[in-house]
Amino acid sequence: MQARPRVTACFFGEGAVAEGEFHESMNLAALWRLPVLFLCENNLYAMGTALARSESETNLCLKASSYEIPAWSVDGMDVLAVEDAARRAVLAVREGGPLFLELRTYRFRAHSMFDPQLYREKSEVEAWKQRDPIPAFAARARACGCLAEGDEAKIEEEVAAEVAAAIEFAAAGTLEPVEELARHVYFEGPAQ
Amino acid sequence: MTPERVKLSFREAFRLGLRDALLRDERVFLMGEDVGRYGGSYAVSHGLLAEFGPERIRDTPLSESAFVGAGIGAALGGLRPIVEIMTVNFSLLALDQILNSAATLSHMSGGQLHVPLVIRMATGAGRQLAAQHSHSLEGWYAHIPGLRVVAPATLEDARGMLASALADPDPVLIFEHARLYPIEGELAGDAGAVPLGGAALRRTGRDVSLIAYGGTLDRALEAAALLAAEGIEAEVLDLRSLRPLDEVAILATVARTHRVVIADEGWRSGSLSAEVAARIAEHALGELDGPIRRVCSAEVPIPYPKHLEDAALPQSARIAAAARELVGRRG
Repeated sequence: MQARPRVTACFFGEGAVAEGEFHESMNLAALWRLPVLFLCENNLYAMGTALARSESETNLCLKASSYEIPAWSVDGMDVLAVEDAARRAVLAVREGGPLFLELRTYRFRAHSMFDPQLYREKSEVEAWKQRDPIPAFAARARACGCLAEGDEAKIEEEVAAEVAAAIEFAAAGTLEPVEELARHVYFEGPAQ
Repeated sequence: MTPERVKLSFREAFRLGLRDALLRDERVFLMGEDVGRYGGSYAVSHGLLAEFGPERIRDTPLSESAFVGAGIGAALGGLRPIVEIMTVNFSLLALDQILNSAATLSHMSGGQLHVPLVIRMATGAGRQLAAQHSHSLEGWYAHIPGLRVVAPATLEDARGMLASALADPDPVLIFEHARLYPIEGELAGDAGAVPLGGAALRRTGRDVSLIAYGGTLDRALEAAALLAAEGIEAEVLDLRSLRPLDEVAILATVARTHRVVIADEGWRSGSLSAEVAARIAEHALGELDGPIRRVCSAEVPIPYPKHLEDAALPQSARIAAAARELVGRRG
């Protein structure tokens, strides 16, 4: 309504596809041709519930298509494929309204600290780890000469240092004062 | 020069408020089920589509959660949406959006986000629409921090609360009692915005306080008239705002009359009337010359047959009887 040249990227997992909200949103976005890019990270498990245990139709793109929304599926373990698809998807949304992009991926680790992962085989996890997107991308970068010898270790070190610095910063910070518990329940003025 | 008073219905007063808001601010738009071509399920928005067009008077699919969510997004994005939910009963389909997003984002973001969203919905019984269209759940919403909840019970408030709700930076829920829509009265021709907060004394009296809101205000005023004929002077306090509650006004009326009857169309257990009673008990127990009385809806799904619906609701005769019994019990 404000005619702004913006695209909203909306991320959710394949588990959310079972929510009524997903279907209401697909319909409304298509009906009003809203500039929304729906990005579904399909990692095959909603916490511990496998896709086939929660969906009668496991082809997620078919669901989006049924709302007249273009739907693409891409290998979510392939960094370049995701980058390319996302770039084309944003252009398509600007041109013609909502688009659904399924990113087929996997979660290597437990859902949370309280998840003993009873719902899947270790061999399945190991098989997916062979397709880890970071080493795969590094190998391709090396192969095309974009990543020089020693660069990868250097990047790993930089990332580790950044994470360590963030942890240190957070640990050195002060906790929110308890006296401010009830602040911001209602608007208090323009954000600083 | 005193402005001329005009005769109009609650429905028309709500519509005047909507029209004003749409004329005054281009960021304002109305969306909901059947607000456009149908003219509003209770005909409140009749004629607005022709005047303001389909962009600003927006019919939605039957998708309460999605269009309330869209309203939250629009509010975050700088617009001033008015979302109409056909009845409070259907708002339960959007409760996740209202509670987990609209009411919560400001606190969760440390004040970086705020949601200037207005949601209007019909509430209450009395039109033989049966259980799935007749409940009074506004007390549930009054439980939620982050929301403002108002219940217009006069033409002035029906006309004027919307402007203040739109000016408020937080989500505001306006509960319009469905029984009031066709009721007519007089309103000043120049009536405009009224503040959201603050209860209003609609009648003064020394013997007993009748505390009411929304659909129970006219019942309480009728009860006060019945009592007056018997020589009992009842004070009638209209809460107007259910969250926050005007505790000062509630305690002040109790301090004047020392007897209180609370009329609430919600079910008694865990109701808004329970909250009002608890506030009085916490802060003014010593002022009371008798127990706090409550007149609420029977704890049943509101029935369809008229005689049963009438029997289920807090009617003026029941409010008057509760007051009479209290006054008879001299402290």
